[in-house]
Amino acid sequence: MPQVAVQPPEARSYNKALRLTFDYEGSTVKLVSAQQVDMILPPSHPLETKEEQTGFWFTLSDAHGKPVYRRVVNNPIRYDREVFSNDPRHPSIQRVPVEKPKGTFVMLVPDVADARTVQLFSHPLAHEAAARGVAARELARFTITQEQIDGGRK
Amino acid sequence: MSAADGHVVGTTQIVDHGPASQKWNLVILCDGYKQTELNKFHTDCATFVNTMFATPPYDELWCGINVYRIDVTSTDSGADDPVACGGSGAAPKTYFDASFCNGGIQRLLEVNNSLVHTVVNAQMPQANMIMVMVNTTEYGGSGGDVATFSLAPGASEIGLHEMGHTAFGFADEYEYWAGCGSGETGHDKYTGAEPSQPNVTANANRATNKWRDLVAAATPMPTTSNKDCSKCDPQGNPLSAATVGAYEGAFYNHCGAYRPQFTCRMRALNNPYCAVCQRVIRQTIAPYMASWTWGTSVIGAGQTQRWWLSWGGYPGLEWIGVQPVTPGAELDWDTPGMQKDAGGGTLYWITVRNNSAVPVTFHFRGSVL
Repeated sequence: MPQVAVQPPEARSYNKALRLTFDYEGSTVKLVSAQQVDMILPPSHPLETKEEQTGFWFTLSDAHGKPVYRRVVNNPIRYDREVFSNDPRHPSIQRVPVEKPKGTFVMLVPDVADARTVQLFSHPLAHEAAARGVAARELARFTITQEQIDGGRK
Repeated sequence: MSAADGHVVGTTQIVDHGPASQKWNLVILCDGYKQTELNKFHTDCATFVNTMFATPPYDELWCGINVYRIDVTSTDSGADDPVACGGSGAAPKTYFDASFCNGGIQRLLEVNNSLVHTVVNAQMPQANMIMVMVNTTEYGGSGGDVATFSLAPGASEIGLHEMGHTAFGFADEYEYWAGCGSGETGHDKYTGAEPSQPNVTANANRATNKWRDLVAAATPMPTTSNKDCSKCDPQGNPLSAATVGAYEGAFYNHCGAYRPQFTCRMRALNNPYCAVCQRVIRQTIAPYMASWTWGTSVIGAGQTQRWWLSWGGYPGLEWIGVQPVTPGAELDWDTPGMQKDAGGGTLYWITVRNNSAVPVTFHFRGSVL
């Protein structure tokens, strides 16, 4: 009897998550907490891309370095930001530079026991860089420690 | 002007479609509301929720969405309004330190997003999307990991646009950086790598474009072209508003980058999400629905066949079934089997029989425990 996997592994959903909180200043990113959370995660985006791409995404990889989850997200490290207007003399949206990029962002990854490596990929971080289309490269890599997870429970 | 200028009162679920662990959770906080104004925040929150509920495709996905309100008091009302930007000079003491005039731009209303995350991590760590409503009727807002907007008419559009970025990973579809009439340079033609975001592309080829399945055979590709890449394309929409194609001018460039429809909320406020964005929203929220289509397949005439389906948790699904798509078709299927897989997930198998004389297309449907 033929057996067909209709659900490719990258499209599976998860119902246990780690809520990862990062601080950044310029292109320096620090993982500050990992909080275990019971919640369903959106399905993974395709784990591999056929071509070089620009943008921002993160991956979670297992102990063998094999990605198990990948999500394309809006770049949370803001070298520029949107300004909105309800004045018809201005476009409703435009972009302006951030002088000192600094802030906090959160990412949700599956809580899988042997998958504890998170990698962030980004186009070069600079003013207007999003418009240039330079291919994304690894920006930072973190190993989520049990200490961080235990700390996240407090 | 910090956490010392108020306190977190607590969290209230205002749209309840089930446990937070099973739903897509929007969390709305407030800033610049005094203790005596929290009822006003409750009303303002409800107004935004009604706006969101009336916004496709959230209307059809509503049973997969929860909304939580986190009440936070401030010592004073409103937001900082520096005179440097022509503001009133008001400097109220508020919990998240909401302020206009960030970067010297009056309409740029921001809060302390690190403090927002601290509060949300403690109060509602299942949050998928975070917004902050600021108690001022002056127009303003900002995006990023936390969407912030005021109570001015139309400002809730900022929240819906930013939700597109933060929750669904959409790119901007506008074709400029600072504005079409700004005299900006360096935005004439996009020549870079393919954007990873789902709603913009450098590829207008009908055979390989990433949303080609939504493009009708009669729609030209590219659908519009900008004749003068030194400026924004001034032409109107030559086709109907609903036509999906590849419209040149997107992703901060006048040429070389394409958007799926002529207009979209990710291009300019006060427009619907385009069809591509709506599809991504549906795909993202589908796992939070009571039941959803897990996959689609075809079984040949008279065939019996087994399928394997994987789920990332254990136990995971309450129910799996089969729903024929082919008109008039009927299928039989056995009660699914299940086992724990090596990765801690669940592996299901289901045997489907097609007793008819024609191939049948069908959906796998499932619901979460």
